[in-house]
Amino acid sequence: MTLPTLSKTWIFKTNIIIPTTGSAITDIQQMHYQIKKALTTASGWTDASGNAVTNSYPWTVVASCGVSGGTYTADATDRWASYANVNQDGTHLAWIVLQQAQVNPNYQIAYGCVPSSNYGMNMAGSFSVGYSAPWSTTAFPTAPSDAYTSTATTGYGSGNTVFDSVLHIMMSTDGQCTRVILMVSNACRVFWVFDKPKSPVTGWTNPAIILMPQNSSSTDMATISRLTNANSYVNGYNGGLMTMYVTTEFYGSGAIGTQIITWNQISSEWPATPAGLLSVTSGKYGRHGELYDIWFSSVMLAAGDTFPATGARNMVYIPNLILPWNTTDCLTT
Amino acid sequence: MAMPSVDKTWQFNVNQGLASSGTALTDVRNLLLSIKNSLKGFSSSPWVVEGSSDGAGAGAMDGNDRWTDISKLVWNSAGSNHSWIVLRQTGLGSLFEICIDLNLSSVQGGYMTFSWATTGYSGGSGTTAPTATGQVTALTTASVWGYNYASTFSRVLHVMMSTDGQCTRVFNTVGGTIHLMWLFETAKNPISAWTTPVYVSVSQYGSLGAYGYTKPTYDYLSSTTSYQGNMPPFQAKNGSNNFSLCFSGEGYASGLNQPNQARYNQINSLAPVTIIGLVSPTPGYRGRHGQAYDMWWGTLYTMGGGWDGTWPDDSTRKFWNCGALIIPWTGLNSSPGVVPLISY
Repeated sequence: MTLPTLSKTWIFKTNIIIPTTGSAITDIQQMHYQIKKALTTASGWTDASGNAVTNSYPWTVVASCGVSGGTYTADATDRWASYANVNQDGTHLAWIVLQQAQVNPNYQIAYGCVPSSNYGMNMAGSFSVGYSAPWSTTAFPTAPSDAYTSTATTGYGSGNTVFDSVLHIMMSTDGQCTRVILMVSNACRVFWVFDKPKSPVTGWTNPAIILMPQNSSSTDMATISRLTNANSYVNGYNGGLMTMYVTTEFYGSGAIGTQIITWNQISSEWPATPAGLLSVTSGKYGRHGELYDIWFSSVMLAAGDTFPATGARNMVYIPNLILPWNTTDCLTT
Repeated sequence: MAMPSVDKTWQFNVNQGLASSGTALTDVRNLLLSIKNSLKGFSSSPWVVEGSSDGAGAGAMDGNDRWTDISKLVWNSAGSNHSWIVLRQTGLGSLFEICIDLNLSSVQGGYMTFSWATTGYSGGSGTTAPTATGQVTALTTASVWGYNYASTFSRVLHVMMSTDGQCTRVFNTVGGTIHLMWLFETAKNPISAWTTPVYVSVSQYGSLGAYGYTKPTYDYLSSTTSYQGNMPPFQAKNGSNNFSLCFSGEGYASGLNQPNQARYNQINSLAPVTIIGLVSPTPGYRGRHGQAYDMWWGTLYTMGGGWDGTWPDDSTRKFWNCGALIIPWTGLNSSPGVVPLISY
């Protein structure tokens, strides 16, 4: 198909295989840790041609809490040296705060364990205020004034069962866009987007979005029905939180990608329609911008399909999105 | 969204008041004659009459416009003396033509056969309309055109065309509602394999007693569900094959943004304006094949004091908020533009 034109230059960490440990709890610990490790390490990235590059804007650790030798410690350092540091004991809990200043000063995300829930996950973020001390070993970091928060008390991305997973991370070279994808059995169990939006409306102060929804089952998280329908997973802030739908091209009662379940029958190309951002929060209604370099396609494609199918593989299909890619085969299970 | 930028330069023959004569047939004749005269009257790239019949036996594809007054618009059955006319617009294709055939005797004025072709019409006489290879029938004598032909009405006609002839729009309003919408358009950014990227809409009115829609709505334009037997609303061709099109637009949940959220943006205080795509649901031709030139989804009721207002809300009247659509208006050429009349 004719590939859509990218607005950003992208770097990648793809096909990070996280084999199951045989324990669902440990698998979730691994997921927490491997995402942090990939985001905060400047090395190990490739460009779109598959060449090794250094990330100029890796995420930085603001603070964390981890367990080592049975003792939990919380301070402004990285306490997650391995997945074993990511745990909870009913009273204490591991968490981490990461920052990406290329989106906004003090644009931060926080995530970690849920007390008394071996399978749960706290997820939160601040659009421009940021988290601050005191840091606690028994409480998740205190939400700043512009915080988005969400908690999955059971089975984040796993359904409480053991799972092999494949982690893919992609970032724009300017640090303004980060996408985290965790594939389990061909389903995108984790789909996080931490972006500065494209073409934000005038008046949106410190435009930024956090797409970091809970997922307590094996649900595919990046589908048309998930992102454009029923629930608003994207959050932004402008004098107050606003929940947003991801929009794309519709006719009748549904998106092109769900209504025309075939390639274009004249051009033989798959659809690729842009993604907008529309707030449904009272007082902040309206379409406020777009997502960079994300397009919706047909539900008929298979997870991991690349465009072209061989060779350059500039784009990949993660159901139901078309995203930038880096020439490799895309592992989805 | 910020002011949309137009791709075309536009010429307008709008706010044409057509006062009721007191006779229904005369009113219909006046409307049809005014449409024809408007199409051929533009200064740039006007439609050209390729042939006609005057309803009195004189008819041929000889380039003569025999519709010189309303008495030359005569309805009667094919085989009997009746009127027809063929107009060509080369901006839509070297042989793109429309044929209006008043070929029904039983109901004067209310019905016609409207067809179009990309291959040019030939033949024709005082009793028989010409034909074209691969012609597409947009209206048959089973469908009412215009409006209630049995009563007399005052109307307002709006005709606008891009100076390159690639886009022509005809609207007729009666008593505050739009009762006719004809579009003859070239698609913007068509997929390369679409050999004849042109689409046509000639609205009809379904059965008597269900007179038409009141304005171009989201449902009418973007749905593939039957709406008064005339869905999807657009016709197109690819080579010798016909397919249907409807409008697409940015949406979420179960429909387009604007009907889902019919209000101003609460951060920038601007009314939403979004791009219109062209999608075919026809088996064998499914897909998004292009977009509309200089036409956007607007928001019903929320702008300019209502659906008949102009956009933006600064009295420049650059665009007409025509139902669900935002389309170029006279303020683009001379600001401020005129107030769109929707009632005579």
